Amino acid sequence: MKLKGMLTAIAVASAFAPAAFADKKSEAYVQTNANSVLSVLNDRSLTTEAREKKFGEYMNKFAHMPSIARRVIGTTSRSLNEADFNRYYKIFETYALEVYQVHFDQFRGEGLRVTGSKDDGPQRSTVESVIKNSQTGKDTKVYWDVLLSQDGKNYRVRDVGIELGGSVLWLAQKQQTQFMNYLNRNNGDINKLIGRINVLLADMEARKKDGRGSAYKG
Amino acid sequence: MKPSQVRLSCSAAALSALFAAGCASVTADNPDPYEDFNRQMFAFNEGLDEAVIEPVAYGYRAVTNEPIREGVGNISSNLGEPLTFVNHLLQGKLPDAGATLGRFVVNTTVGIAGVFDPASTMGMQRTNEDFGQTLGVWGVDSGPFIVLPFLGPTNPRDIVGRGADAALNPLNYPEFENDDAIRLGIVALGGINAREGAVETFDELRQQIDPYTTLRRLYGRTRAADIGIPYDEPNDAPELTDDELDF
Repeated sequence: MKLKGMLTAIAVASAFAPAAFADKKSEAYVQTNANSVLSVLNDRSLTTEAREKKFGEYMNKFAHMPSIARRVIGTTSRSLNEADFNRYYKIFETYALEVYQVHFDQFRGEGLRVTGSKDDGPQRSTVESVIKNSQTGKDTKVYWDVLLSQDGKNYRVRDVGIELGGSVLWLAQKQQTQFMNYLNRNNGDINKLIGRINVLLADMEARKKDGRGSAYKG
Repeated sequence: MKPSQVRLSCSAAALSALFAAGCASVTADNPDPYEDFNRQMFAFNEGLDEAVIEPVAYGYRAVTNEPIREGVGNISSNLGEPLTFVNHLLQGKLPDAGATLGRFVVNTTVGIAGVFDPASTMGMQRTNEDFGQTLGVWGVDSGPFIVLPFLGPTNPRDIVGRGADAALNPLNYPEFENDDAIRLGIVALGGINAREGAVETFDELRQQIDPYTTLRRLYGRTRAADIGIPYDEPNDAPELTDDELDF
């Protein structure tokens, strides 16, 4: 009787619980915005500079880059004043967009199909999708870690996971591991991290100029 | 020293390394117990690569063309087929073992000592297996990540695997005139060919914020995929709360 009573209570509670976050809205959000980002990469009417600018604009609407910038340096961000964070954010954004563009480029010209989603908490869900890799021709699973703002009005992607060889490569998580390890090895000195990113950005620029292309292969 | 003695000493070294490595274990709090040592070895290997190996790889690229490099790669892969065959058997993958044997026979004969790869054209696709993978399939844990001087990234399971591979490879047993020199030459040429093929990968690795962390992830992920098990990236970093990341 006790068990039956508990089950009834759970069933009643569930019926009055708030609607699950992993709803059609978050899936539609990913469907629309991911395809917009991918279409920019395939827009041959744009110059390279214009494409990069537009890609950055779409990514900022889709993913809220300042949150990602904070997340990848983890608890170090708590000790940064606004000026230091802004200095770091300015170059992080350039660096991250370059890296994300290379990763997304493997799906250039392909349409993304959302296949479902699951709740990860009251404000978070993972949207699952499938997209053909334009380089290999194979369907690839891509996962979107979506965060709903505290006021419940806006969705933003906080990470993207690409299935590779049976495992999922989460881009922001991968950056987080690297950034935090780098900071840990340098006593949490944000200036050293900024210096390291600047070295990489200078190399990216040199590669663009001499035609070698990006070192990142996606 | 004869090959059999070399094999024995390799196995002993592998077991010693395993024993030493076994002193520390991977925990959630300490996913990379040898990190300080590994980073020093990584820096040493990087210095060696930039000073000697990479210039040789670029030189090799300059004096060879794509078909030649593909032929060298095919020979190297073909010589690895008997080892793959043995490991398929040890893993109980009989159809794969049969296909690998077929590949070896076809490529050694029709493919002229493995220079060409007609077996792939005939639908017998290349697979690579080693004893490290076999141990993984048998459920042996990888143990901590280790970077060894000259040899690069590995783990205790793969160190043992390397030693066992040398002992298991049937091609290591025939003795003939200058056999050691010929084997060494084949290994060296195969190594340079492989390094040339990895020029872009090394380039990408060096463009990471923390190349060591990337190497650790790539090695772990690749080996897990080879074995067919999921890979969990070591990440003990405390996360910010969703409140802190609100927008």
